[in-house]
Amino acid sequence: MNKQFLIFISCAAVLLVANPAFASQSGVIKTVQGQVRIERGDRNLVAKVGDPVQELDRVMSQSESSVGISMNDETLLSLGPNSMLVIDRYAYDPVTRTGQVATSILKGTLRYVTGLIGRAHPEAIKVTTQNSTIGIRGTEFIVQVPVDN
Amino acid sequence: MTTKRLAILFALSGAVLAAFYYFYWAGPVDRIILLPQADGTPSAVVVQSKSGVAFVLERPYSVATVGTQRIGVEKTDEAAVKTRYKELFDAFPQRPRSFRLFFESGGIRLMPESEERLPLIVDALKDLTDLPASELILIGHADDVGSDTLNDALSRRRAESIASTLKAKHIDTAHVAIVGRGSRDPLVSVKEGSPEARNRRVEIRLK
Repeated sequence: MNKQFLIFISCAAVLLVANPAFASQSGVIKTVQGQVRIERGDRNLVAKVGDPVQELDRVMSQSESSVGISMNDETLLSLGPNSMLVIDRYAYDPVTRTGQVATSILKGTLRYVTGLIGRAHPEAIKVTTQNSTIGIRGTEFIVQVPVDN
Repeated sequence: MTTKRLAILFALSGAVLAAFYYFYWAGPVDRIILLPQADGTPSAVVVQSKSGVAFVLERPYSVATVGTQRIGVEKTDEAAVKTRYKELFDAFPQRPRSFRLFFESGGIRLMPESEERLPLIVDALKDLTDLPASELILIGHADDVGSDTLNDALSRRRAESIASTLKAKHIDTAHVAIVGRGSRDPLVSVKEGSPEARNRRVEIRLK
């Protein structure tokens, strides 16, 4: 067996495991229109197509802006202008297709299509607004929360 | 006469106040709109207000309006939703595309029909993987012959073999995700432990 190749593979494996962005990636930004930012801990990032989203991220769109996100379990989301979404909890095991998805929409509009976790375990999906909690039964829906709520 | 007038005035102002309270004092409302499923299957959302009142939306384009004090239901339609929430539809990610390849029993050799289809799938993938931020996921499956441990490994090997095939055809597999689901997710249900060609497969998903 080629020794160099083996060294390369082990380095790649270490990098892959050590890279926190990869390890905790919950989804990917697929579309961006206008100004969209991600608040991650004390960092404030400009969202670009291809960027990862993680558990506890706050995704914020400015006016005349919007963003589309595909989560690892194929949950699909889009946020309209002046919107704020928090990914409160995201866990997904692709082998068993189990996990948990909890998001809050604090303002603005959200379109939500549940993915693979929701198919077998609809009770594992939760969307929260200030006034309500939304549970699903295999579903597509829109949520609109007033800006001055 | 005067008392009657006063009474009417009182009643009227009461109604106005009640309406005012209902529409303004109760605060702004959240709107939750059930959309039809892409595949036409029925679906529902359960909306629960902070005060504990639950509401089930079962018909597409029904709307729950949830305020701090009240929860109501309204109706809308496709045209109104597509206009009012245009940005949500424009920004929405592509739905995943899926292709299937089937395998001979017990190994990673493709069935002749799948071998024939492969070039077509490769062509389709070449165009699609050029899309921004596309993700390729290869999900291997096994039929119910053999132990779970064996099938978990075999299904993964099938997915890995397709990854090398795609790489050899110059498809970008640098960020491909490989999953082996064993015999957990049969395409067709058969008697336990029996062979089934349609369950020995790799699903190529592109999102």
